[in-house]
Amino acid sequence: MVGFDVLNAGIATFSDRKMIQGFVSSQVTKNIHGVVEGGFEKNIYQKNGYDATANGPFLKLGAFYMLANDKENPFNGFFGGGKIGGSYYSQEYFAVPVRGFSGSDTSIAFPASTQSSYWIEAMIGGRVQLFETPFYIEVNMQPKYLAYSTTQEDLKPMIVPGFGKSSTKFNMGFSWNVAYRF
Amino acid sequence: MKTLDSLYINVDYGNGKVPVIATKSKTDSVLIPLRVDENTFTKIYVGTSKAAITSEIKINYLTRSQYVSPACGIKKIYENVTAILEVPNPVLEVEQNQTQITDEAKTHFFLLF
Repeated sequence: MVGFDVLNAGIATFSDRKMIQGFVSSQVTKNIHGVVEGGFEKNIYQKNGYDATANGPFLKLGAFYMLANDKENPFNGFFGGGKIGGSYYSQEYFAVPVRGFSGSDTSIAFPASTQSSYWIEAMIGGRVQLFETPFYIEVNMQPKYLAYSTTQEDLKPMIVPGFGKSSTKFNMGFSWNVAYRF
Repeated sequence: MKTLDSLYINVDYGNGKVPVIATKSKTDSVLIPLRVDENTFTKIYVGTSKAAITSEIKINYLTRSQYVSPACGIKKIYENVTAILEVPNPVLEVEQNQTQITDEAKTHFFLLF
């Protein structure tokens, strides 16, 4: 099965977050499906004195288990699973804040650099066939935990392509895919 | 250590003097934030009454940046710190205790009144 995330592609046209992603999944056993997901994200972070940008490709590998499915079509149903993700991206921090007294804040800029980050994510969602066609609609959400990042002078990343924008190690992703079954 | 009945301190952060300490209660020590920009000194003005904040102390230093956390951003570490009493009265002398300022834990200067 091959799918494309239409939610984030749609959001990309009117937001700072430009993300395109898709997946290929394959049935391994009766209820277990393997999945490979890939994409590209470009995003900015302008908050709390920060001004940063990052862009790059990402790749996720994992598997999911069909928790409940339709007797007539085993591809319809709810699933849960897990993935590991990685991204190799270029970032530039134009401003990292130095907090001062009484509004005397300043910032420090860092030159562009290339970094990589790795995370684990859980996945829970549902899928339904679109009438009698080979197309499926799939909705899923992914709670994520950023496990490791290479850093520039210990600067923790505020944006990681594929992981999202977060000042903490946790994040949540949503996707709404249209998939085609061969 | 002498306790003052009142203490007023203004600091110039680059946009003129800003009142930082204005207390009429008994005080024997105060925390004064320094400038965080590229400037190599901070000027502080000290007085014991609001009408006469007349002493001027120039604190010279070299700054170094250190990343703290996503929420805090970057902090400045002040090295080779020296203080010059440019205008005396009511402060008579500045006694230096530390040459590096990394946090608020230590007493860096004693002001003699």
